[in-house]
Amino acid sequence: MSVRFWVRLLIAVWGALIFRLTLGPRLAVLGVQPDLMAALVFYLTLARGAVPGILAGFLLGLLVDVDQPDALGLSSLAWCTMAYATARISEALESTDPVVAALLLLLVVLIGETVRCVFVAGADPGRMVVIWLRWVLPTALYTCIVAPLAVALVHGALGGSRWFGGRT
Amino acid sequence: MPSPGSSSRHRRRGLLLWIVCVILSGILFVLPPTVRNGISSGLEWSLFLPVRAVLGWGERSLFVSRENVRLQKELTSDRTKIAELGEAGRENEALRRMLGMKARSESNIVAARVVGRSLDWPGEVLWVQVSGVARPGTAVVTPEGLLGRVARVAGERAQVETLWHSRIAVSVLDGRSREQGILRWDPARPGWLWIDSVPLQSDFRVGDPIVTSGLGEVFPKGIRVGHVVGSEEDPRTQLKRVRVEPGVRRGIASEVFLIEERPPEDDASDRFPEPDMTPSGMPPLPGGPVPQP
Repeated sequence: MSVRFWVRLLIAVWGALIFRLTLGPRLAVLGVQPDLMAALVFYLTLARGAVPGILAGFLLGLLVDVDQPDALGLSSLAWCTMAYATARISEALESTDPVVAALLLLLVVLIGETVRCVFVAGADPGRMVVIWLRWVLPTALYTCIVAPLAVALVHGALGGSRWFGGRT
Repeated sequence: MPSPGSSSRHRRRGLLLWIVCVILSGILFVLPPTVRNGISSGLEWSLFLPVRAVLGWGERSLFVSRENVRLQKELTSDRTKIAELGEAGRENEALRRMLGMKARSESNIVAARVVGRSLDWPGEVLWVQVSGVARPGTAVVTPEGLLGRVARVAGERAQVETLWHSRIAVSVLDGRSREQGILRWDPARPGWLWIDSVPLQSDFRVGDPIVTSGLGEVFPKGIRVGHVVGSEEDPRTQLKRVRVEPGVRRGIASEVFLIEERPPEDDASDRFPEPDMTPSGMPPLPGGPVPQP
């Protein structure tokens, strides 16, 4: 992987983190905000494959978790699982199609957020269903609307070339 | 085009790495809290330091004048004092028999500016820039009422867990009826704050002010939290849960204040009077003769 890739990765992580802490809360609808960090893991996995995606998911999850040490490891678990699912499912799909990519993003964000939901809700199935419907599903829907728009903006600004290279 | 063998190898490598990451995440998740805090701080100030530098860029650019800060600080201070006076008045009669008790501690208000905010659904967290020293556990308020507490401190930056965080539990009481309870936010019932598991006959009425009780020694007594907007019976427990609308509106605070408790002056007159000791070292019997050695 070239120096350009790493510089772009660092810029993308900074951008997603700034979004998460500043603009994201202002775009929140009923407390739900799009998760561009999860989307970053998704697009990186699509572009570069399972191994970089899983590593990025684990490390970016840790980056988010260090702010909440009580849940240290939870986002890492969710996002590396999400990256693995992305890699496996995308093998069977034409993920260069933006609509397919957006639907795949919805599915894998649902998988990642459901992992978190299970741990947050504990052993109460009723509570888990409520949290899933109230937080997990809206977060995944909102992410799969905002993230492709952000990707389209970046690609437009780059004149059509791919931010991470590869397929997306 | 990758060969079937190389594709299978990639798949195996991906699966192996995922299993390793799952195991590592699981280990991190079950570590004792002190170890997790240590790992978290270590990562924050080493591996993630370049990325963490972005904190405070966006919200800090929202300029608020010093005058506005000063006025808000005065307003917060005055409202806090008024709330404390109200509490003192209500409790005056009950405390009359306890005169001579140690004096209540005083509060010191420190201004802080919100520089970052995370609305992650398991709990809202703010980062604030403090113009002074902050300590974990310090109560954080706005002129509208209690906002949360300081969870961690790194230099002049403090992380605040707000009322909309599943870890926060506040001991509160009804300002009218003096009924007590524990106030929490629950992601499964996110619209309100809740006082769970109170007896059915407890006296919480719509509109009653809810203030901190001072029990638990995390939040000072008498800080306004919100007001009662309703209650419902929990069919599973045969108890009641009370809906509370917080005074602070979620996600809009840009200036907050930390309330630090100052310990009271060490004044002998504030203590319970020591009983006079007899020469034998025994206290005198009430109404009886003084024992002689």
